[in-house]
Amino acid sequence: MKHNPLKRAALLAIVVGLYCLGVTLVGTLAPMAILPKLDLPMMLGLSAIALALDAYWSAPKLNWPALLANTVLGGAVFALLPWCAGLAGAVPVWTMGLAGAAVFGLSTLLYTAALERIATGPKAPLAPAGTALMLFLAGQCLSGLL
Amino acid sequence: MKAKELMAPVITILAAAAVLLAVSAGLRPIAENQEATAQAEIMGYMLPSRPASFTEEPYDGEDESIRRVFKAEDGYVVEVETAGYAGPMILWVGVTNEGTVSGVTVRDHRETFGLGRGAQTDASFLLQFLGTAGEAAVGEDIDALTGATVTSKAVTRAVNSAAAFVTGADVSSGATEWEG
Repeated sequence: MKHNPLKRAALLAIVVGLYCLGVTLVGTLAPMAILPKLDLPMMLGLSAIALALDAYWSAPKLNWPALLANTVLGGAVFALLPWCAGLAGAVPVWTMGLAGAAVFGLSTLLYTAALERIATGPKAPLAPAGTALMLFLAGQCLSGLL
Repeated sequence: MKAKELMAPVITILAAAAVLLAVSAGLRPIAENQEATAQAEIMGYMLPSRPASFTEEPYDGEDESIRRVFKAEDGYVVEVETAGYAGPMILWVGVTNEGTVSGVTVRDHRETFGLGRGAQTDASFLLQFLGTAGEAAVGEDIDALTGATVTSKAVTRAVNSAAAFVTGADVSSGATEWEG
């Protein structure tokens, strides 16, 4: 997958899958624990982790067809995996899919654009993680305003 | 973009979905059993006699904030939904047959870390509700959580709703309406 522009969606599936697995296991072993919900800030956080992992793998570049495909695949990830883990609750699958696609598509666009300006080459090893953190915090602020 | 490039994410998504489906289905009976045990244990602490068993009763009153009602010999545990600062909050409120609040626990919420989240963990805040009988009010007999007045008012409305259910004054409390 070294040069695959769609590996972001695969990484997102791994990150969201691990989140769902963790919540399922903790929910089974500690059923009264109040666990974080898969709401918009959480979707953004998981997307940011996947994007940071992807950036460490290979420098991301803006590619519109790949962005569109990643957006659709991101929607599939957020629709399918929580439903399979039984975490969707009363939220319809298509709602989760649309929200997930919007969050992952937008965060991919913003992350790539920001990283291109922040990263200064191999001497900026913290740039991918820092950009992901900045994106997550900005999303938290926005959701707080909403 | 080639079809081959599409295969990797699609296979990863399907594999993750299959694993989650299998794990979820395998753990469901254990999760249901664990939840029933934990629920009985927590509810047992919410009434003075620490009852071991509760019977869920149908609720057909007017208060839309009351979701479920569990009856024991010396009182009720009422599940109430109230509108917190950042989203709905679910509380269990133990009320004796005399209408006195004997236990409060927050079961679900989306409150702000470091502020409204104290409603779940701040024992001194929750202890203020014990002994009240549906007349609790922030600023009078209830000290609000610092920086979380909306959350404090939401919890207070929920507790008052539960007490009103037992005393028979369960008209709509407006607990599901956000009050700044």
